[in-house]
Amino acid sequence: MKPATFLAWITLGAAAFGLTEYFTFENVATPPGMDPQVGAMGQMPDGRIAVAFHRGEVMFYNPADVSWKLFATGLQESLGMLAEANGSVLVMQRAELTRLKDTDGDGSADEYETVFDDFGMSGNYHEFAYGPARGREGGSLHRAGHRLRRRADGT
Amino acid sequence: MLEKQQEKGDPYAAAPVHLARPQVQRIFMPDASPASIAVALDATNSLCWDVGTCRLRYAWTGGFIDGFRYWKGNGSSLATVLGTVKYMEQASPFGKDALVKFLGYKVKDGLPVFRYKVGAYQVTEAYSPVGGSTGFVRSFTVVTTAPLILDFSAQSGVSITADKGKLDSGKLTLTPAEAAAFKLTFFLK
Repeated sequence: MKPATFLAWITLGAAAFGLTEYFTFENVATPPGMDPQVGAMGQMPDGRIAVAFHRGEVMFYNPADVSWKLFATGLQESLGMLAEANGSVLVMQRAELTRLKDTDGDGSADEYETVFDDFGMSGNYHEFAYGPARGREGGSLHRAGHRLRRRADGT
Repeated sequence: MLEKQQEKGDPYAAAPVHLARPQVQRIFMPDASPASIAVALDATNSLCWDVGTCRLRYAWTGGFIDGFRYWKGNGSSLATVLGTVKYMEQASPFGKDALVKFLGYKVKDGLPVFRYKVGAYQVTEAYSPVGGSTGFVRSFTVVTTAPLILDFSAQSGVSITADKGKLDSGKLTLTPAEAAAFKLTFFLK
């Protein structure tokens, strides 16, 4: 399905279900040359939107000046994200939960810290990892394949 | 609804993120465990580092990888190595039975510095190109209070030099002070 066709269905669906009464819909052009399939999104403390793309890129979209900035590359099937207060980004990729850090302040992630990978991975085509979601006690939940795992140490 | 047939080939093959060198890309790789990382050191030297076993699997020359079969489908295909595999590491130099724990990696000038535990050792392992030759440089830091022996004796198709320690018949012996920071250069034949 073409992106324009997909967008039309989304727009029609939103109107049909009355979502336009509660949300403002705005078209945002994806970065040039980028495979536009989005796996995860999160809102940074400063208002920028972190977006994970299909081939492993994480980019920041800045609504203030309508710009994109590349933050991280080389991830595998990022399907979940949590933006953290200190500017780092937790990303659930296929093999692990990863914390992306910009330790030198140049605007790009230079540390890809493995936070949790104990769920393992067999390589089965249906074994995708999702989450994390922030728990009430500060831990996080994520799902890998058909298994649900919980961390309670604040990550 | 009839959809227009997809054009053949990767429509994003020329994207700057794919053409960047060096490059670090997690993807399913042949002859490695599912959690693996492909690394392009420069335009012609690349390698596969296995997160599941925390070790180098192989290195090749030519191009990098073609991941289109993986990215276009349901995520089960392997990436294709674009080049000729010149070196396959038979086992971890720390020993094939040691327990490992991957801790992540840092990126310095586009090149990876892997962090992991193997047995009792806390290790960082950085990769960089040789420069003007076929191969790669591995820069290690290992925290240990006892002498360290790394075993490369089973490897073939490569000439190895070390900037510290004693390299004899493919076995590198280092004092704890030498193990704190040392480099190995792998010249591929």
